[in-house]
Amino acid sequence: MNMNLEQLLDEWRRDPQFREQVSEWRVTPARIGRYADFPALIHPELRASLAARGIERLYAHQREAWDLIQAGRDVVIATPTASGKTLCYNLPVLQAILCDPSVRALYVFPTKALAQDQVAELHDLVRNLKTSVHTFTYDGDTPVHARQKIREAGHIVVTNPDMLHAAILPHHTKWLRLFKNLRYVVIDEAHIYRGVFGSHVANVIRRLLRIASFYGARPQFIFCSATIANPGELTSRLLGRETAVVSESGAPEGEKHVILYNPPVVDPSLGLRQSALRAARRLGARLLQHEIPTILFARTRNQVELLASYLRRDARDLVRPRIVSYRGGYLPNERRAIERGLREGKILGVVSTNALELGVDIGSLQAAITVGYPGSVASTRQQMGRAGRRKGVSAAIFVATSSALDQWMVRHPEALLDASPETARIYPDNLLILMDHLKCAAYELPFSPDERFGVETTDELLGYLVDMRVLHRAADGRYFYMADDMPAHAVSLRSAAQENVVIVDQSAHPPLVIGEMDRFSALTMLHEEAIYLHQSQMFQVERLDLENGKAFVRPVDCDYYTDAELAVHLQVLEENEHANEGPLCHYTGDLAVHATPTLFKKIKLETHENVGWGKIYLPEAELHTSGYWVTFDRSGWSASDDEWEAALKGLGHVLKQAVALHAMCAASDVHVAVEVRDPQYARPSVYVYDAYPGGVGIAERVYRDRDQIFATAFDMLQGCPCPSGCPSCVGPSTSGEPVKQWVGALFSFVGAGAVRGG
Amino acid sequence: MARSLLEKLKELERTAGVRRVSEAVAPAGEARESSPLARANCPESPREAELADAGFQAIPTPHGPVWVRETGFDLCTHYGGRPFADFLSCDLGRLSRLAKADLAPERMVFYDIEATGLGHGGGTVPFLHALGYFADDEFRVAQYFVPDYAAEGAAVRLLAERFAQKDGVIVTYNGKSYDWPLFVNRCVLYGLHPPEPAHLDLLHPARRLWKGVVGRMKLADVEGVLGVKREGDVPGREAPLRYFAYVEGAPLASMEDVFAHNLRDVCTLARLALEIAEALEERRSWSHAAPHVGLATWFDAWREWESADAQFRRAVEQEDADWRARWLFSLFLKRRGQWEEASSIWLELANDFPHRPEPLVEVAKYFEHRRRDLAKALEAAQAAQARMDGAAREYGEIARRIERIRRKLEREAACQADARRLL
Repeated sequence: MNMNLEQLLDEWRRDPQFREQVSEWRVTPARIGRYADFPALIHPELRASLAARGIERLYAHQREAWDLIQAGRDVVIATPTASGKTLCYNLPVLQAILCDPSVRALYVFPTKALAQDQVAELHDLVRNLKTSVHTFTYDGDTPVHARQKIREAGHIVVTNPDMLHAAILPHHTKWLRLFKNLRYVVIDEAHIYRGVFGSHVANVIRRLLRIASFYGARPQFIFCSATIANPGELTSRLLGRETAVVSESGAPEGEKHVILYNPPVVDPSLGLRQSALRAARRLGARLLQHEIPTILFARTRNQVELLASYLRRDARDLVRPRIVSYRGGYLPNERRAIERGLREGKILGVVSTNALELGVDIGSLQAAITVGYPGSVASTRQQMGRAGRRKGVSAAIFVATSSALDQWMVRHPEALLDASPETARIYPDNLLILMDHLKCAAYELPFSPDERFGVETTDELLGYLVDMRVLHRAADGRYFYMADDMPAHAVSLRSAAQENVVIVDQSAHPPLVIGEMDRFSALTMLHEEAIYLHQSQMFQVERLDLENGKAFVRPVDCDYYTDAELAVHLQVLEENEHANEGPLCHYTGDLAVHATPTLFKKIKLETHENVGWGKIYLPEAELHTSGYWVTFDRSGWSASDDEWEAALKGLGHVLKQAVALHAMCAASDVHVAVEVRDPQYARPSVYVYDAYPGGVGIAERVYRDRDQIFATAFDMLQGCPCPSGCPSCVGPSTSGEPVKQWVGALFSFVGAGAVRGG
Repeated sequence: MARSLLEKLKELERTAGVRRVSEAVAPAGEARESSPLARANCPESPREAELADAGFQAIPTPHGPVWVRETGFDLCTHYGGRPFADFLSCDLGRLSRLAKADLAPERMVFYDIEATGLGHGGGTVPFLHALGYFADDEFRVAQYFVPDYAAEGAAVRLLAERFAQKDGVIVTYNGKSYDWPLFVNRCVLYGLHPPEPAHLDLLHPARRLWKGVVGRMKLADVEGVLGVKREGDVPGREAPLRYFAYVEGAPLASMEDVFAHNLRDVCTLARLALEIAEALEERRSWSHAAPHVGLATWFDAWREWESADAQFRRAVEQEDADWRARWLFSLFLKRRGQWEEASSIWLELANDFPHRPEPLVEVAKYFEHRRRDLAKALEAAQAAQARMDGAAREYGEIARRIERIRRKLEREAACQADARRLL
């Protein structure tokens, strides 16, 4: 006999064993929709088309967006998943085209799959119009013979940032009609554009605006974003103009249960918990047993496949074929079929990586299970948002792993559920990124002497490029591109630095490039014998050819990963700011990092035990970046050099976790280094610096928000149930020393500083 | 401790491994010492004097001067073994058909550009436009040179007007995908409506005639066929680098090689047009099959059967007459109803190419439908089948054919039996 979700939740609620593992059970009551009438000016055809789809009025936020857009504002719509964001931009765009068929719009989606999905939805809306509105997708798959027509006849051109950057902008003369009549630019999933990628995209938008303005157009921008803390700030920085934020959803919502579940302790002496995967299997199987549509998010591809196969094994014969897995690396057709199956209810359960986190339309499911913290609060909420219906009950369950971060999360439900999600940061003025796009922009249109591209120092930078013989200053003072290549082809939006190391899988026929990495990180991540994780598949590096920028890898199946030791020598190039806080001093500025990898350790998965080591033979590397560093008054804690070093390293490790949490970046986006006797300050110090040449703004943020970050780090350390420090909190160490207490001693400096400073 | 922005940038680029392509290939910089920018900035500058000395004239326009140098060739001048005059007397009838435009020498403009790169985007700037045309008993080449990026607008405007002249036809080599789209880009950039003259791109007919005879179908390769000899020519890819050096102050003399290269390109265009026109008038023969096949296929498409027939026969006579020449000829004969001759070619082909089933399939069809010799048809069909891959689509077709012929044979046998009974 099948139970419905309400009955199942009720059973769980009455089960003391279950309740014991729940650190938070929150019920958001159902909310009725807030509606608004259609605007009086809406085109009758559009209104009829909506009516044909059963839409007789708008949600309040859709109307709010409409009014702002009609008033000429650039807007960002940051309402929850499935609140009808798409209509917020389709309505004004179609309205404009119906009123004036020469109007053009550009839609930018981060991935091809999303673009296709949205085009399908747009087609539905357009089909019922009497006027024909042409929508075309322009991406790498667009056949060459169709391109000409799209350039001429497409009212709405749908593309991705990479195509915009490399194919559309450099060839703007062929897109005359689009740019001349460009009224709206829609940028969906704007929260994706953060970090290095976002910084690139901000520059692509600068170029787009420059070209539009050349043709006399000033397009209005409509952004859509998942719930992040700062949608307005992020999109304003992306666009370089103020955006108005629409964040109050008017869509009705059914009752929603959010449960934070910490798997039971199976070995109390060691504090060992049941694995999150196993707990998720148990919960997922119950839901699916009762045919409750459920999505499960796992962090890696392996986990996805594993969990899906468990769930299929647990399921009844009839249900078994209705459980599938979904992840990157599947062919597009396969993905489309799964998405359709979910929408139509043919598929009951899906296990996915964060690939389904984005706005791909899969309809609304009743239950979502997140296995392990996916790396950001925003991402967690996005996953939880996959369960949620306009009517009826839904449930989202977060299953914690034993990592320090996950355990911290279940102890701080408010951080996951109430606190504003992370802010997404971009740093469009990173010099290297800016210079790349300055070249691209100069290729597209010459720069006039007084023109400004993002930064005030544009003319200085242009002058630099003249010196480098990349640009030529013509007799009329304008700057022209002067090389026989096309600069956009040398710039990839999704990679970090130029001159990357590409990672080649030698087992594929022909060998396949599976990723790339900046040279600096390659020293520690791609040295020979290193284990490289790619979408959870493990590869072993067989050869690193730094000269030609290639790392040759082969898939392996092993139970350890590698961690390389770098002999790092830091040089402060410039202090931008510092703050003296009693026994410690905080700094931010520019660093030169000289690093030589020495040896690597093999560390066992799950347990983080050290199971072996090897030597690395690679030359020294140099990285110029921005950093945050803190120095300590050595007299504040009397300990030996070795103890200081262990404590600094432990602090570095936990700080790195806290920075990743706070700055919404991966732990690998920052590096940490320590000095017991800093050559510059003659004090013990910890450095945290951006892993990307030139910096992407993380370090500055650490400096500014250091109080919060230290507080979180301290909390992570304290909250870890281990007695004297473990790989989860203070990082891998072989000694049995009370590192945790030592790190705690360093934290007391912060308290002292705060008191004195306060 | 404060570092300047530029210092910082230089260090950053060095450590991030940014490559500077232009620096690596920059020509010798001795010319840069003479502070060229200052000179280029003022009117009547030595820079302009240099252009004038080299024979360039400034055409005044509302947007500034346009620099052009005209080179005239007496019609008796031989280029590639033929006087330019021959073009005026040759029959352009079939070439017009090819161009889908009414060609007359006085309305044709032979057009070739040199640009700052091979890209098609907004930053690839044509800095030299050459227009070849017949006028006043001369073949003249006007080379419009853009001495500075800033001077481009005036040149583009002037040329756009020139190309917009009524009934004009431009003749290029690969111009449909390179020179012309680039020119259109420039028009768009300067806010002009791009002219739309008729356009004959000689690459396509040249490819049909000489592909497989000459190497990579670049203009220089085709010149081999025309008997044009180039010596000491500057390679095309060097042209942008010379230009970059020039705009930065190198003397105009360093551009002369590029001007010469471009001038020859345009002369070759005229010579190539003559060659193709005469080929189309069947006044050429080659010791290769391919050009004759090329001609034959045009004539076939234009329903000029006799000419097509003649060219096919010339083609298959050649020593290098390959499968394609003979096969296309056989199909032509089949369409023309010349079955006997077609079938004899098929039998030869079946013999000479023991792995190809197609001729045997044709033989089977011929015996089944034309000669109504089912036994021979079956034999040919089975031989064809033996040459096929079991997975191929043709295999199914031939299997069905064999099946049908067998049924017909049975029916025939039955009929004959009936007939015998009746007798």
